[in-house]
Amino acid sequence: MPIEKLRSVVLCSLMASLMAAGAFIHVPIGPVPVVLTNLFVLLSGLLLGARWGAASAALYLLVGAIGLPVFSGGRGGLAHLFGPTGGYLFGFILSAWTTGFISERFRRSMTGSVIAVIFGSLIIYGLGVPWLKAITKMTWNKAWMVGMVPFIPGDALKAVVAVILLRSVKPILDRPIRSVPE
Amino acid sequence: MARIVFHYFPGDSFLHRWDARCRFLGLLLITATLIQTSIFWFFLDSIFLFFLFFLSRLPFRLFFKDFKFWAIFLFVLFLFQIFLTPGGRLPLFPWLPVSQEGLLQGGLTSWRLGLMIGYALLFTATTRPRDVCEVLVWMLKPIPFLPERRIGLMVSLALRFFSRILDQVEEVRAAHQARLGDRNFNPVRKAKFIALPVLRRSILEVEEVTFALAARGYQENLPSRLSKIPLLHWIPIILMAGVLLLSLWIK
Repeated sequence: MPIEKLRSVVLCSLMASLMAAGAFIHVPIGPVPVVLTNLFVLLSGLLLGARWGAASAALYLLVGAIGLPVFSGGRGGLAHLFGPTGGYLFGFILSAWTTGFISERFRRSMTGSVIAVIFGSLIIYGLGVPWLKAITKMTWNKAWMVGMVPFIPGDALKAVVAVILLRSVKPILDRPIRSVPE
Repeated sequence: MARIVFHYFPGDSFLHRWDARCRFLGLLLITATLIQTSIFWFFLDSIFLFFLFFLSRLPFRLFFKDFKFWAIFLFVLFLFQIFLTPGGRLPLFPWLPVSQEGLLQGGLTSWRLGLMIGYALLFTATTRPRDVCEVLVWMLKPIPFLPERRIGLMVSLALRFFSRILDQVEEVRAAHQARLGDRNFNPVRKAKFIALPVLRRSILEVEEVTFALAARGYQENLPSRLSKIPLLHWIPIILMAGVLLLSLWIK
């Protein structure tokens, strides 16, 4: 396997782990504690592009599905994956893909990154809220109020941090990988 | 060190010894019976869940510890349904603002979700993560163009990185606190000062792991070493599939 591809595989695993660790990193900014999982989902799309970004989000779900406590609140297993919040979790895959796709189309410019994280964040709600409604049989109004409104300030903040982090770590990733010492 | 709490509970019961691949197929079959809202199936699945639970010899404490969160959620969901679903009042308690339709719908929804959660918890508690990786490789193998070996490698790398990152977060947090960084109340700076050093360190580590894999000659075209499923382990699956097909035929 070419070393660049091998690096993408390892990087993809790292982003999945960061998503998992993000569930443990709480930033208390109000009544709803903000966890950093979404931040790393957006960042994986920005850093790895559509294909590998979506793969890292899928890998995160896979690790959660095998029972490790990587979902928010230290939960894990199939029950959580297919439970009421499952839509948000599956939305991570589409979100990372969309973020990566838009970012690639804009040639990873600053404007492109901002548009990408906005769409990426919205996609998570786009899947999560209807899933929540379908499982809990809530009305649309209630589902939006419970599943989206309280999280908007936190997610806006995470989108900003994702773009800042991208600018900080992109130079490390952009440099060509050193050749294996002879 | 890492604080990974595996939800797997070691044991030597029939359920623990049953091949994880067959156990997963069994879980899929049971989930198929729960898709339809049928009191008959719910009742049968509830009895079967209790039977399997006793067979697994898992401590009740462990099961209820995991189930506690879901029980609260199911109860709130039930209350939502009974109070907010329109319909006729209960003949015995007409003063209660509860509808008959809501009671039935809320009861069935909570029952079905409770069963789904119960079976999933039982599967997770009796299956080692390594076995679930094997299940995944076995399931993905027939699908063309899916690199099952690579997925296996990525899962094991992700587990390794996960514990490393948690340790790094603690280190960065302590360093941040030592420099009075925790007195800064700007949330963007707070998140940046924790996430950025962790991310930079981790990305640098990626290069080391990549070289280590390349140096060991990692290849994806090596034959997989999945063991064969013993014939005896198929019997419960055949029985379960038989009962499911028979019920569909009678219906």
